[in-house]
Amino acid sequence: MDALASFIESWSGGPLRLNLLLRVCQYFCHAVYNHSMAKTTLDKLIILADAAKYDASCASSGGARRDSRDQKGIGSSGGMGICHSYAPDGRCISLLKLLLTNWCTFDCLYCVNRQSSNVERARFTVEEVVNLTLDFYKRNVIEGLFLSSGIIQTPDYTMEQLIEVARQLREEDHFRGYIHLKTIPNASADLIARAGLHADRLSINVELPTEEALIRLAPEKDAAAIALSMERIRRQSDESREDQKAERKIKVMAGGKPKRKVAQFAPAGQSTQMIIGADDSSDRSILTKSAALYRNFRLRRVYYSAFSPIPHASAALPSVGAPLMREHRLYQADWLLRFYGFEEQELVTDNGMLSLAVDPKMAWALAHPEYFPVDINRAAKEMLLRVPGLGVQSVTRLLAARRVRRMRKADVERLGAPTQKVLAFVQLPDHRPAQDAAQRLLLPVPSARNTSPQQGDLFQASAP
Amino acid sequence: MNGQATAHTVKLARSDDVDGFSAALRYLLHHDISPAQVTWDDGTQAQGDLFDIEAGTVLDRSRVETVAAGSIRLPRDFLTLARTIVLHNSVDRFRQLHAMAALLMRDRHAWADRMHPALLQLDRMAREVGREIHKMHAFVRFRPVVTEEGETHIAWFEPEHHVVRAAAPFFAKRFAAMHWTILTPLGCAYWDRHALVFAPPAAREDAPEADAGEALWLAYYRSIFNPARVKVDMMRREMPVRFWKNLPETGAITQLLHGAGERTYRMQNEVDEPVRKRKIRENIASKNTTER
Repeated sequence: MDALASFIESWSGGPLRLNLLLRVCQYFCHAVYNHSMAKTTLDKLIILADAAKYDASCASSGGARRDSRDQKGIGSSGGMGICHSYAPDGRCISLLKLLLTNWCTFDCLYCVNRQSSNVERARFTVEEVVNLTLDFYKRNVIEGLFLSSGIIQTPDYTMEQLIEVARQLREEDHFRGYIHLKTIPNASADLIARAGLHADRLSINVELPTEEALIRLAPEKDAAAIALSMERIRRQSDESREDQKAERKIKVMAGGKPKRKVAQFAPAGQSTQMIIGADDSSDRSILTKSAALYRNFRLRRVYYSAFSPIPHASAALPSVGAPLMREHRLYQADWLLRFYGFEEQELVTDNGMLSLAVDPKMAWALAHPEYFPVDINRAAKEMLLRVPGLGVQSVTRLLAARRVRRMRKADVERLGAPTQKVLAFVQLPDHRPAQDAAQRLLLPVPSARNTSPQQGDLFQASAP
Repeated sequence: MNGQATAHTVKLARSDDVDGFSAALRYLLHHDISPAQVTWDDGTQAQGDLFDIEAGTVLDRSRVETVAAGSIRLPRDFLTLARTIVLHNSVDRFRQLHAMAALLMRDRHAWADRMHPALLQLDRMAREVGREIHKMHAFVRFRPVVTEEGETHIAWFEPEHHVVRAAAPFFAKRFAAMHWTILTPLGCAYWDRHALVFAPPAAREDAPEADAGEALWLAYYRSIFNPARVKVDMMRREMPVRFWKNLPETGAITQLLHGAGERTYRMQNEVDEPVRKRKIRENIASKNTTER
């Protein structure tokens, strides 16, 4: 009943097109079939949280600095993100991640909510999402809301519904927590501008690394439209930053307050997600795509989501998920590009694929023995960052300490880094790695876990 | 000071008495009293332990404040680090900080050696305290309780380090318009919309049981779990098992993991009815056989 009502609501006033008449019938049948009884908020929550879990993003950091000391509303943000819980899939639960509805007119094959899926459908009212967000927030189990939606009626109509949730939270309940809104592809520039006023982060998923894959697996999605939306978000962001700069200048010049405070557009920027393993794109093409996204649209994050089998799967998809290790290696490579000074073409791949056996930094080191061993006491920071096992923190510490005295083997052992790994690639006054030290790291080591079962083996047993 | 024989006992007001510690440290350095001569009493040691040792000169707050602030110069970063480390649960923390401060008084350069073993140890302790504060911000679970004065939110939390005072202002900013209480075995924090008040430890029984609304959160936790990507080690690293007993959702973990294999199997082997029917039809057509 509920879905029928929401269906009628979503269609009244909208342009009725003949080619969608079929959909009308389908929706109607679903409504009669699925909704002989009205769904409670709990029923909807179960359906619409389940439908939202394939989005990997959970970040709640980088939002505007806000708190509730004026006692008008509730919430704060702006520090580092907080993970309030972890699911047994190892993912952080930071935001209440929901779809407003899983009814969808699109038919993306990798998506559980695609039009042709038999998944049970539901639709929240705006008030239900607002109330759930506030209730969870007061229990201190979330940092805020991550709201996405299936596409109902038109992209603009869907986007307006998402914005309305954010607007109510911000303007009526003075909610100062974190809001992440999914941007609907093809939503108008005006709506994106409005969304960015309320949201800390906007995101739009590129979904697949190549246009061909998108055409094949997500026929209604359009790479150009996705790029256009990202471009709009970026432009709005730039303009908002310029406005703020100008405002600060006025403040300094006049020594007074400007007339109105310019709200920062989506202060936590934009992010996107790529599904790994639903098509046959190589790691290299995925990383090339990421590098372009970071460069062109100033994305804060690209999330990689190993294609995971979904209920009600389309027969056109692989039924086995991509290895989670592949996803992990892509994140590591992405990290090397952003924080370790690696260039995309430097990453070592075999037929375009990163090694699953060793991490990408290790793979680079093994392929470039001419750079090693690195002298811990002399090498430049850039080179220290390339030593397998040395992270940014360890490097900073070593650089500071070697100004005072020479580093020795014992210092490396105290770093808290994987000692054997590091020692295979560095030299110190009292240490030089053996010729084959790096190669020997690749030999299988008898695992301590196999010989001494630990208390938690109950859980290990059920892990695949 | 003719040191070796003279014993001193520093009396701190509480385990997290940061200001008291700073004042005492100033006094000890000013009078050149070595770490080995000092016993630290933050009120947590069993009385018997204190009788066993020669209390010597008792240094309480009024006594140590005879040395003026600013008379002892130490790196600002060290003082910041010390304020965090005082919150650590190690009984040795005061002595370790005193030893590091004494070293810095003799040799300022020691602070620049970021690989000094004692400094690495202090950094590690500070990280543990920082992480505990962060985890308290994350894992405090408020339950709504309606009283005559209106709604209040009460949480029971068990920190490993003395972080209640350090973590509380975060909640005061976030939930400024709510009345809330955080009860812990290491001390409690109350917010009445005007001021943060700290009180002695409470017991678990003082905290409320689950309310009906918690079912929504539990349902959300179960629904957001993806059975096709079980990573238990990751979960346990970020959400250490010692917190589980106060996180209601962790009660669902065993059940979720037990069902995960079967759910994944079903997902991998079932496709939607229309598609499957079509596939069967196609199969029949291609094989040119009649299945039944």
